[in-house]
Amino acid sequence: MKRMHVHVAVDNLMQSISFYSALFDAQPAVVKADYAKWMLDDPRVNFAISTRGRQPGLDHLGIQVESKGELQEVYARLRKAGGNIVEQGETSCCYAKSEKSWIDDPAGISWETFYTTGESIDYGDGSGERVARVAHEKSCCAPAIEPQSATACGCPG
Amino acid sequence: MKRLHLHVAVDNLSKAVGFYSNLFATRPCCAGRTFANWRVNDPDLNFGVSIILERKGVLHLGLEVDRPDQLNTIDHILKGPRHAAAALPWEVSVRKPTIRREPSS
Repeated sequence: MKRMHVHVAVDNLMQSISFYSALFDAQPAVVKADYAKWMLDDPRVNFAISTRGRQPGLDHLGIQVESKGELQEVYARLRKAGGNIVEQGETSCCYAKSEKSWIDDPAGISWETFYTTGESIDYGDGSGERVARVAHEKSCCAPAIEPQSATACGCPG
Repeated sequence: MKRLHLHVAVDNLSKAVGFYSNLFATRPCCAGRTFANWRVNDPDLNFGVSIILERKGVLHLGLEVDRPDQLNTIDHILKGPRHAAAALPWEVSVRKPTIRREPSS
């Protein structure tokens, strides 16, 4: 089973941990000085926040898979979707070791598809991450979204 | 079960429908001239796009819940001062039940 991934850049880690722990009714599974992550089953989401100098707001979205077979399945979807795919391969990022690829969606949001194989003791040296993100630099940092009422939700059903 | 909701602004609906239909490997459950919506099971997600010319990106995130009491609990959190630390707008809604009717014989 795949899991949605959301990564949000925030200003104040502790205040954001407080909010999201209340929202999800769960404590984060990982807390570092600049990062926190919830691995939720209800809803089924890998939700991360970080204070890494990016503008507050959505940093990127993703689909986390649980096997190499699923990874290849989603990679095939990316190729079908078209656009520039950045194959990052095996990398350490966000205190985890993963194999991943990146693609930009039509809204300018970066999506990562990744299979996590273990933990990492640091955030990541950025060696692979930097290459991927530089390729996406114009679109990876979603515009800051001010809290406000959003437009009608589209689907009436 | 709660479900994550994402609503994204795009400037080209047909391009967006093509991209996300491939990404989620499923067609939109409903669509109009200015919007489309996907109900994805794997990963569990309610994903919507709307045409908004002056901005692109995520408009809001949301949680779909099963019961009104869950909605009230989460709405109370969203109305509180801690929402300022979210860095994004969030909404909560009650998940609509699916009603399927077979044609009568």
